[in-house]
Amino acid sequence: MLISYKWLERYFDEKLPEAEKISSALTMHSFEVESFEAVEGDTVFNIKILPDRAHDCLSHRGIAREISVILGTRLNKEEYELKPLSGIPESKKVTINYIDQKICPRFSALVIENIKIKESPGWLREILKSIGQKSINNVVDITNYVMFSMGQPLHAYDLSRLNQKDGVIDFGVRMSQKGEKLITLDGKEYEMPGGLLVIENEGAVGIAGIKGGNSSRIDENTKSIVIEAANFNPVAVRKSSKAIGLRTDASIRFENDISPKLTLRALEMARGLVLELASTKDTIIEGFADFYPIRRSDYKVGVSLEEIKKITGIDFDDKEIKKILDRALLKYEVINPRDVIVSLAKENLGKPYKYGASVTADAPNAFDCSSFISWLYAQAGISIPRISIDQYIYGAEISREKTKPGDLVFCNTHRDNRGVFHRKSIEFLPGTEVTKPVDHDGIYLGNGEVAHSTEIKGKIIVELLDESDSFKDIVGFRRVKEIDKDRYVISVPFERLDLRQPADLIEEIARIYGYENIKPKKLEETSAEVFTDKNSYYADLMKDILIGEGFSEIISYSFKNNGKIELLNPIASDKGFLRADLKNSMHDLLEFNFSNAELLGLTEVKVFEVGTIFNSKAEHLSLAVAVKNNEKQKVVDEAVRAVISKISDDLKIDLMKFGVIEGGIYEGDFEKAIKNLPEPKEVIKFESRPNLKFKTPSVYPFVLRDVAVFVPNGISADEVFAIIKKEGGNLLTRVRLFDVFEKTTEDGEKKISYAFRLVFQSQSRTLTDEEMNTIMERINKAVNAKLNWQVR
Amino acid sequence: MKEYEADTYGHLHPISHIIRQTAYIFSQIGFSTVSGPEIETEYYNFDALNIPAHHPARDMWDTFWLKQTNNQQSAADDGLAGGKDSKSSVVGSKLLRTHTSPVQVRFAEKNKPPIRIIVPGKTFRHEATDATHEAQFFQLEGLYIDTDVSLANLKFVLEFYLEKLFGSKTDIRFRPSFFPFVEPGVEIDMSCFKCGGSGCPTCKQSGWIEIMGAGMVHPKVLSNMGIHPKRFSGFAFGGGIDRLAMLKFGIGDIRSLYTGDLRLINQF
Ligand SMILES: [Zn+2]
Repeated sequence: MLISYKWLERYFDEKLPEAEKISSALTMHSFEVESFEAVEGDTVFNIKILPDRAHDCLSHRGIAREISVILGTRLNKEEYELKPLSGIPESKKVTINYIDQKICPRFSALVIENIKIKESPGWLREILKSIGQKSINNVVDITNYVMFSMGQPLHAYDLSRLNQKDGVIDFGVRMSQKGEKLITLDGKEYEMPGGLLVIENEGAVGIAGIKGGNSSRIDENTKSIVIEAANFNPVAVRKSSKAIGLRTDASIRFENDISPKLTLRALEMARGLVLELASTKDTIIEGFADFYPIRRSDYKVGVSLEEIKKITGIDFDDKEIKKILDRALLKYEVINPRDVIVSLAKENLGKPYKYGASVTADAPNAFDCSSFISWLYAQAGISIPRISIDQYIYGAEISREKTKPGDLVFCNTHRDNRGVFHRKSIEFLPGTEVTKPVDHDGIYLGNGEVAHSTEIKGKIIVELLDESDSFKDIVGFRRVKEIDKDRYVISVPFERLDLRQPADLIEEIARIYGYENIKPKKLEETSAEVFTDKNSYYADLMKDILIGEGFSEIISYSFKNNGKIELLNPIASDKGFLRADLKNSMHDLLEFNFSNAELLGLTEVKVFEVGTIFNSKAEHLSLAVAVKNNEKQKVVDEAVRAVISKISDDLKIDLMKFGVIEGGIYEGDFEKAIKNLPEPKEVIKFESRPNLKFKTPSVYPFVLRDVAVFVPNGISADEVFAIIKKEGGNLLTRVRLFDVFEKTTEDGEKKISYAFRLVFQSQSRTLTDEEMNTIMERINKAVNAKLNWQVR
Repeated sequence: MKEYEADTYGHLHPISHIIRQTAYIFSQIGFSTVSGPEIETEYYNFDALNIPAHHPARDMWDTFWLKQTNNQQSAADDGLAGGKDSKSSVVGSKLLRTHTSPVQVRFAEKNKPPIRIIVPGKTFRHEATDATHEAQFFQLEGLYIDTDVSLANLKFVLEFYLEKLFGSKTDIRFRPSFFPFVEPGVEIDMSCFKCGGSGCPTCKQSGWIEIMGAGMVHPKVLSNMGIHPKRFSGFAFGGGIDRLAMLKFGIGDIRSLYTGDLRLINQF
């Protein structure tokens, strides 16, 4: 997200640190600042906000808050004073109906009449411009400004262009019908697929959370407006956005999930700005409408000092943690979980039973057995699973004698009216089974008493365990480990949807404190033996054999233009399939590399690949081994066969049984071939050659020249090579001695002939014939200058 | 071999080079090497790793999906990337793994802690290719789960590894980051092995090289693995082997690793 320095300044009275300092502080403590640059009187940061912080930090306010936490610069105002909407009457002109709260948890609207649409003032145009936003008019700019300030998208409608029924404009949110048409603000017509989230007002007037419709747009004739601040379901918006291939600043925020509490604040800010920038003497705030059937309750999350120390490896003390939490602007209290759980259990006696009650929405007004327990623990800052069976598996077993107030009692009520006895973990540890089914639980209060939310009595009651009907068949007692350590219980700020469990708090504490304070700590010694998976192990052994035999390893592409398994979304039309073999790509490779053989100092090309191939039944590791030289096919195939049998002998497998040799290439099912070999019990030792550095090959063609030299007996190839190398200069890339023979001259003198093949190549140009001739002449001259040496 | 003799040696691909050296280094601190399928189910590649369908976090992994035919459906049933499937499937199909984390989940389902493994392997991402991006590449991931594992252990392990791999004194730096399968999640920078931190072209003058992502295994992921998140903790890390090879050997273009060009391979 683009963040303006000037905009940030609006949140602080104190002077903000330099952009450079903000950038590095955010990068080391919050998120990556990818760049910052000066633009016309401002500095703009490009900050990479990842999904965990997109709830609160796709906004200038979020970033300002973060800067304040990290750098200690005091955040002491909203950039715009927010006046509560509480005094505003319910709108008589706008109502909100027909909304499923699942797709739209909240829909708030504010009606303002008799305003004047005009150009925005300079400060607003400039500040929007610095983050790349075009100014449209005062009202549209205000909605954008509010969104980039606090992260809540707004949409403004022209009141007169909305459809009225009996003098009332009614809004809803629904799924689109397939084929419905809508022209969006940018004038583009969409024929919508079914299931798109749309704003309903006697027909679709906008794609919810993505883009408004053209029919109710604001223009210079607009007199009265409705400003919508809604909270749409993130998945619904994301699906809509994907379905029509349209991502907007609004949809990005909705799909990342934002707090429904933001709608009011955003409208408060918008109202203030409209009054300031668009009012006339007749302007009135007509009214306010708010659909918010299920209020999200405040979230509490806790962590103990011990947990923080354990995960971070930093030796924190209580004082330091408190300091960090204060800095983080997190409200917290330190509590003893047992005390809180027991006293809250007692306080909530008599509350009604509701099967499947939600811990976030129904509590503390109604509970079922396990939601009661889950909620009690949550209040003590301990997050435990939601379902009885999972709570049972989560806790550690204790005896009845050792059970203390706050611990859990589990039973089987044998009332199988919903089929909810569980023998298996549902969500917590999938697959984990227990010996006796569990369908009910309660909180032990001491003195043999249990508090539980019971369907039979329809409420939360206290009973003696021994006299309770529900607890006739007790399955066990459990203790949640965290209950005995004091906890920092944080009331999570409403916009911080990322702080939901202890690990989140630990991260918050550690990053604010600074990861640089973590000192490396050795792992505990282990006596367990290391191993390598079978495929890799035997493949490595085989590679070593092949390399010993002069073969080089290639790794090629898995995408091909044909095969048995097709991709739904290939990267290119000729890469639509997964390879069904290795040998087909090897053919071309052999040709290509053979053309470079001299450059590489090779007389033949010998390569192999071990890699996964895919047929319609399964994938498996395949081996391909290939040779290319100027010999007859039969001879080539024999060379391949020889190395295949060497591998087979060395590894005690039969590769020929699982593959064939064709056209100088072996390919076979390596996985099947090694099937009966024992499981490996080691990791093969491997050390890299020091200072191994890659030299990028030249893109220019290489040139070959042969030189044969007669020298007196006793002169070694080394001596001849030395002269060639010296005279050949930098362009001489490779030299290969390809022929040696002895000859006795007429006068009985023994002479040796050395024939070298010289490869020349430049890193920067194509070599010319003239250039080559000059070099060769130089070499010839130097050779001939030696006594009794002679270039043939 | 003399300089003017034909090259009769075989050569190990630089990717294998890094993988083998990595496996050996990690074996010295008790890590085993495991591997797994390249075609995966949505469950193992995403859901089990706390990356639900329709969550923006999915955008962090551009995915290749497979076309589903009846034939493949039955193939899937008898072995091809078998196991659990997603409850919330996007395409209702198999995919090419975008990381080797699914192998870790599969391993942890079958083995009890302590777990010390590394998982090198080929992975795929649907991205436009250039000198530093490939649609196929090799990923190195690691997982350590025990009763008492911390970020401090992670720092030790990565320092130990990178120091041995690059053959010079190496410092590790954590920066806050986000990956759905870890919490806390960190980005790993290593001090530049070329300049030692004073700034050079390799580290873009910053003294640090971004090398991996890592963090403490998310309690939900532990729980999906069948491991009690209150009794055990663990760290996980992951990074590109191609990138390690390119840095270590000075290879400029990732694509040159997959062309089978012996002008590259025979230098190793
Ligand atoms: Zn450097």
